[in-house]
Amino acid sequence: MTNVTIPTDLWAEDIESVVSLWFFEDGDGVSEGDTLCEVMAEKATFEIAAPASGTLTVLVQPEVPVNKGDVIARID
Amino acid sequence: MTAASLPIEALLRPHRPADQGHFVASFRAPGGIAFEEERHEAFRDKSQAGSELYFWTQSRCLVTSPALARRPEFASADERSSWPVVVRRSGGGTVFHGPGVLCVTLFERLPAANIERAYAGICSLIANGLQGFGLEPEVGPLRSAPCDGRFNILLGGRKLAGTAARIIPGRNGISLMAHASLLVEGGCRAGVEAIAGFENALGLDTSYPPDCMITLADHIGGIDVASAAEAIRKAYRPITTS
Repeated sequence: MTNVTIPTDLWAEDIESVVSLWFFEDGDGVSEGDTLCEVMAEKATFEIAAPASGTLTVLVQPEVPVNKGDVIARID
Repeated sequence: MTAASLPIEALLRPHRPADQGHFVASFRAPGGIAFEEERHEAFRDKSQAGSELYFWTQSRCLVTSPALARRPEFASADERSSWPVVVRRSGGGTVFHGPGVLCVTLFERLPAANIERAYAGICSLIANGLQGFGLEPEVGPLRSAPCDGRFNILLGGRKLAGTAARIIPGRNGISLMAHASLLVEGGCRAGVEAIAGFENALGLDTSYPPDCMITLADHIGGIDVASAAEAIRKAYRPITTS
C-alpha cells in the first residue's frame, strides 16, 4: 500500500488547500507517474502524480480542505 | 458561450493551437485561456531549462474557477450573465477579461515546486515594469475586490492586477506558469458589476465597491495594452540555459 499525500514543501505559509479535480475514479487502476489529481492553494493549482502502480482508493473528495502532508488517496 | 451544456473538463481543454511571441496576441474568448494552457504543455515538454513570457488579451468575458463552475447554480448563472463565462484551471473567484485587460503569462522551469516563488516572479516582473511609468505598486490582499488573494498587485489601495499560478511536473523539473491580469484601459466598473451579478446568481453573497479596482489609464493618460506590455517586457530578465 502506498499513500498519496499533499506535498509538504509546496508553500511556506500554513494555508489550506483542496483537491480540485480527480482524473481517476475510486477503484481505477493507475500507473506510477499518472497524473492523479489537481490540488489548489492560494489560487494556484498543482498536479500530483501517482507514486506507485495499483488500484486507487480516493480518500478526499473535491473541495474538502486539506493541509500539507495529508493523505488524500491510497494505492494498493 | 455555451458553457452550461458542457462538462467542466471539456471547457478546460485547449480550443485551438497558437504560436505567439513577445507581442500582444489577441484572442476571441476562450481562446486566450486555451492558448495559455497549450503553451504550458509545450513548455513542460521542452528538454532545456529557461523561461518564456507572453502577452495576450481576449474578448470581453468573465473568467471563473472550476470550484465555482461546479456549483449547481452555474448553468443558470452562465445563461443569465450578460458577459460570456469561461472556466480556467486555477482557483480563486471570478475576474473579467477584455481588450483593455493585458494578460501576462510567465513560464519558468524550477528544480522544485513552490507557490510563493511562482508569485514572486510574476509580481516582481509586473511591479518592475510599472516602475518605468513612475508608479509604485504594492503586492498584497484586498478583501473588498473580486478574486482576492495574497498576491494582488495594488495601486493606491485598489486592485490593479490579479494573479494565479499552475504548477505541473515535467521530465526535467517543475514547469511553472504564473499569470497576471493587468487592468490597463477601458474602465473596470462594468466588469466589477458583471462579476458581482454572476456570483450573486451562483448563490454567493458578494458585493464589491465600485472603486475597488483601478486601471493603469486612470493614472497614465493615453496608455494602451501594447505600451504596458512593452514596459513589462523591458523589465523581463529571461532565464537562459547557458
